[in-house]
Amino acid sequence: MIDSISTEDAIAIQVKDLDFRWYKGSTVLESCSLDVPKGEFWMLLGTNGSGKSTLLKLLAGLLQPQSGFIKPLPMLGFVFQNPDHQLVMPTVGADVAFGLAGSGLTTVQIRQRVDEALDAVNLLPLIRRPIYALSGGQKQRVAIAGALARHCEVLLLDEPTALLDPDSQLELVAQVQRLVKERNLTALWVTHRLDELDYCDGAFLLEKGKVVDQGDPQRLRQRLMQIPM
Amino acid sequence: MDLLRSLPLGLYLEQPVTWMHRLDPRVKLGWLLTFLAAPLLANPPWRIALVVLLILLTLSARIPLRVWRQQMGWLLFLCFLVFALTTVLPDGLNASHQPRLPANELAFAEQPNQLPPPPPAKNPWNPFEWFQEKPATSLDAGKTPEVFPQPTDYTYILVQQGPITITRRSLDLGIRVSTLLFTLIYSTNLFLLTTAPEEVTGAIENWLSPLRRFNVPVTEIALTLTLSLRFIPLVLEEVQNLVRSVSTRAINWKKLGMRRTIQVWLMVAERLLENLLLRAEQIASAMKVRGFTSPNQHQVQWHQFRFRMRDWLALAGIILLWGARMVWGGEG
Repeated sequence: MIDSISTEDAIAIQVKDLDFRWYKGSTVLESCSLDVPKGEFWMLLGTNGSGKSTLLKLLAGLLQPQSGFIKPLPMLGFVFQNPDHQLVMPTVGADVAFGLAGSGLTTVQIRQRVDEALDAVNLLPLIRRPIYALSGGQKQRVAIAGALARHCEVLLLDEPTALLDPDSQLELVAQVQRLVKERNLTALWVTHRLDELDYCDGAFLLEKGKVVDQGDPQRLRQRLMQIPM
Repeated sequence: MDLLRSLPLGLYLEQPVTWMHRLDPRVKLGWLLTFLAAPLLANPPWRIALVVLLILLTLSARIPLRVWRQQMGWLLFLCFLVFALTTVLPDGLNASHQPRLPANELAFAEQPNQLPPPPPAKNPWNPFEWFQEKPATSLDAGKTPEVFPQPTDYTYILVQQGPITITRRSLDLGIRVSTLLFTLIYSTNLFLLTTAPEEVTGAIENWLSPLRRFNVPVTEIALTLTLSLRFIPLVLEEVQNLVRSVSTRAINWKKLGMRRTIQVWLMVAERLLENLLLRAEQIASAMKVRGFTSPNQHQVQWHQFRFRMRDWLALAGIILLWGARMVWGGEG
């Protein structure tokens, strides 16, 4: 009994036998199951159309599955592929404060949270900058700061580096890895860039809506290098 | 993005933080409205004083020169051009009227009863005679009377140099138009330069808050305004992308004809609308994930509005300015 509770607690993201279809009929996920342990940084790999993004949207509650179980995630941060679609306020500080509006904090507390979150992603000097004047990597970091300010324990990242240049891509993944370790977060990162696998604790390989392999990232990398994607 | 970055107006300057940045946005909004309203029905010296005040305010805030040149250089140029043109061009009051009686009646009445001898016939082949003055005759009754000594130094025409005529009215009009243009654009620009967009909407929300009593969704209006300020750049970017996509297709417009050109542009417009709606959907889901509550409760608390000493001083400044406007600024 005690043992099962402790394993339940040790898993942050849990999905069991998830099925999802679009109304048109094409099946996206079919009895898909995965567990991400708490405090770890896992990646989700797969070809285009294998259902990676859909899985993340289901986890975030943006879509409803036809059947299956998703462990409820009370506070989660979501980082989308295109940073321009998630930053909604005109300047950096206000955008990080956007998610705190319903939290019932005082203005001073909000200010502290925003400062702390922006400090964690090394963007504190840009707190007053308009969003349009930021680079792509900076925008993604602002999006992460928005999640950190809400004290999210789970981060879902949907190909956050897809629109970044190679340097800021590796910088971002290293920063997320550091944040996961420092703050004991759990992160699930969707990618199709193999060199990002060096930074994670484990990875899932998704194929046709099913997890076909999981575990050591280097082994998965070898496997993917052999199969032409 | 380059389209937006090259837009010269209304960009927020986040560095350096001047004393104008630190001012409470509600007071700044009050100052802006003052600058918009004070030139109405005011006399020209007052209008010029407002312009000078605006420039002094900018100088005292030590706004960097590059911003000046980029955002305000062209405005100053435009205003000077408008001033020069309006001053030099005809003032519209020169309706030519003819008096019922001859202008110099006495000369007319006293002229001799007989016609003077006809002037000697001109020799058309002699060019020296062409420009010779006509000999003055007493028949020139219709000519303008000579200028009489005036009790004051008032003249309607201020400058008359060759083709350039500056009258009192054109000078007045030039001052009015150019200063009005300058005050309106410049004060708004200065306000946007030193106030972050969400501060602007926060101030508007704060000013509108009495309307909550009448069930006006003030927070929702302010939030909508804030979001639209953020997404204007995105719309511009989308337009820019589409324009580029059309221009890289190497369409031969000359051969296309009117009908098919319209078809192409309709297609582009449809695509634009589609893209914008798609973006709106994505943004909506992002807002949902990021903890959006409901439109009329989602008040992003970021800037605290608190009146400090300098805000009270600025408020007193508004009152003083309006006092001065009442005393000296009137049309009189």
